[in-house]
Amino acid sequence: MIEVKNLFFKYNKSHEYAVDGISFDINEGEIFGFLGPNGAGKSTTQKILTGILPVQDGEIYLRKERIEKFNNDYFNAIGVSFEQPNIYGKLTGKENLDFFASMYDYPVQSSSNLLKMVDLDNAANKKAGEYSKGMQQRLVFARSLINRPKILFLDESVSGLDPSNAVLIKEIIKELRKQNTTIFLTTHNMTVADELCDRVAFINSGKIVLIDSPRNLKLRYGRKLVKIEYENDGCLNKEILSLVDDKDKQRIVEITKTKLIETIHSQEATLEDIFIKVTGRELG
Amino acid sequence: MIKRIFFNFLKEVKIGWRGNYFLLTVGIAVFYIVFIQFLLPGFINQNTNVYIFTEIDFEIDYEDIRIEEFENVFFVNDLDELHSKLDKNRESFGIYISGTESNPKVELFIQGNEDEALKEVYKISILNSFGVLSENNFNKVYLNNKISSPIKMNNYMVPILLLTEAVMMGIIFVFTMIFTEKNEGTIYAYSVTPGKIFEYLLGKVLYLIFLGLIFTSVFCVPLFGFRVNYLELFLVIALGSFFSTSVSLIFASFYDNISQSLFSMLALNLILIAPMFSYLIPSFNPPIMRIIPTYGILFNLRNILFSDYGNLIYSDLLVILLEGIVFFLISSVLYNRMIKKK
Ligand SMILES: Nc1ncnc2c1ncn2[C@@H]1O[C@H](COP(=O)(O)OP(=O)(O)OP(=O)(O)O)[C@@H](O)[C@H]1O
Ligand SMILES: [Mg+2]
Repeated sequence: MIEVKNLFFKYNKSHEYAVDGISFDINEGEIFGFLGPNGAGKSTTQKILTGILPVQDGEIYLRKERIEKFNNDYFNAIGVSFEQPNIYGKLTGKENLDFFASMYDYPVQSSSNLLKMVDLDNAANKKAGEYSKGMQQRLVFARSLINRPKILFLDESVSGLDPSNAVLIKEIIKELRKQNTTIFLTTHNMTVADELCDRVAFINSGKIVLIDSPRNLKLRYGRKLVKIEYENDGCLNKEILSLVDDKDKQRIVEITKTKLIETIHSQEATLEDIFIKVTGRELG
Repeated sequence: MIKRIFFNFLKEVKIGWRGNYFLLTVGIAVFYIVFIQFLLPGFINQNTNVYIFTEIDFEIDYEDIRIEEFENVFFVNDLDELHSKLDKNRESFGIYISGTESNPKVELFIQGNEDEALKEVYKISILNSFGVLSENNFNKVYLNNKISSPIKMNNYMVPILLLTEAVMMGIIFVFTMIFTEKNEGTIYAYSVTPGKIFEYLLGKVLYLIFLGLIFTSVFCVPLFGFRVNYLELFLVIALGSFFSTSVSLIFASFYDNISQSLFSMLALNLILIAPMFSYLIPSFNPPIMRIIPTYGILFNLRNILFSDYGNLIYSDLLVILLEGIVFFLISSVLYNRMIKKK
């Protein structure tokens, strides 16, 4: 559906690349997870794909056709949920949705239905500026669905919500997949990614480290990982090491000999463990 | 396109209403009405002099033509002296009496800055003192040919207030609107819809024109009633507002908050308001003033409000419209780029 080739982006000439040559493609009806720690370049990538930031270098294809300039057809087809809740504080939740709804060229969803869907129907006529952060986030999420988008960009839409609302949003996302919506889902929450995504891309320092389905990743790294917690200069250190990699096996021996080990686990690795293993970095 | 412009406009009206901008606009208008009506004097110089040259040698009851507030009645010896006195004092007027006692001719020399009521009083009292009440004996002579009936000083200030408030209100409002939206990030949410940036900006322009017209109505109807051509007045205010809003959109695009932009905002205000000096001091009229687009707006407002100055100059309006369009197009380009930069 969407294919990205060698995308680069710098905010400033002197800065390093925020997006450093990434390539991936997302199949139609797929939920594609974009995972990485703070500052990895996730939001930057989403902003380039939604036309907020320019394409400095690289190519974007939509259904095999190169996009030179984002046009109305594209904006009519996409929905975007932002990391920061960006809504009109002086307008009510319903007015916010109705305003954005009036910008589309095709019939849109009813704002009342959307508000009900994200459990904001009680606050529909309250000024959005008086919403809590989680409510604003759900309003932004609802807004991204207003034009029944074929491609949906979600930047941290599930993070920061209380458990029941997180479940609510996740259910909506699963429902959207059933309707064949293509979803680009940015998060630094591995559990969310694990639960929702068909495939995930690990991104770190502007580069994609690997792309695979959560299932394959766990099969590949699965039980072959151990998590060792040990004391080092009074601090608790944590390392995730492979039981098949020679260097890692070496390291395990070294730690057991020289450090005071607190715990060793060889339980099934989570996506988070795998991420740390692959990138050497903790998630934010 | 029209639909999206309309909904952008409607959004601004709602936000403006809730931000009490309408109340503020009406409040300022009411304040200026009070200011104009009660605090500004109708005339600065109350010592209007009256110069009389009479060729008829007979007793005039001077007391008849002396009015308490205006003590300064002078008799001069010939017509030349009368004219030179009038030249020296622009607020004075002259009376020239000729003919015969039974059929006197009274000529009133008017310069345009005198009180209308006062002239009536003089006219009646002079005719009275000859025992003649016929208008036929009375003749008004307008000096300098260009000015005629007087405009009270306080009313003369109205075009300036229309310029600073109705036309230039947009400046400060545009800055606050743009900064709020940059802060809220709503401009980015808008940019991922099919809505165009020019439609978004036009919504703001129309809203500020709307506010300007509200100010104009609330302000002018109580002061002038309906003897003003409001169609022309609204046209000039709308074009002026379009122009000043477009210019401020450009300026606002360079900044993120009020304190950063304070200097530019002030400078912009000062430049656009400068033609006021030419307006208040007619002899101060350097070409540079006439280049400032608000010059045309100010003087056309005067022409509409006070019938004695001539008509609305449509070529001025065309120039303002074209300038407005150019600045608006520039601002559209700038905002398109700004969104793609952040
Ligand atoms: N407006 C900006 N100007 C300059 N640098 C920026 C700007 N926005 C982001 N960056 C930089 O670009 C890099 C990538 O940021 P980005 O927002 O894409 O990260 P992210 O993966 O979305 O992180 P997070 O999980 O915190 O949302 C960071 O190093 C950040 O400092
Ligand atoms: Mg981000």
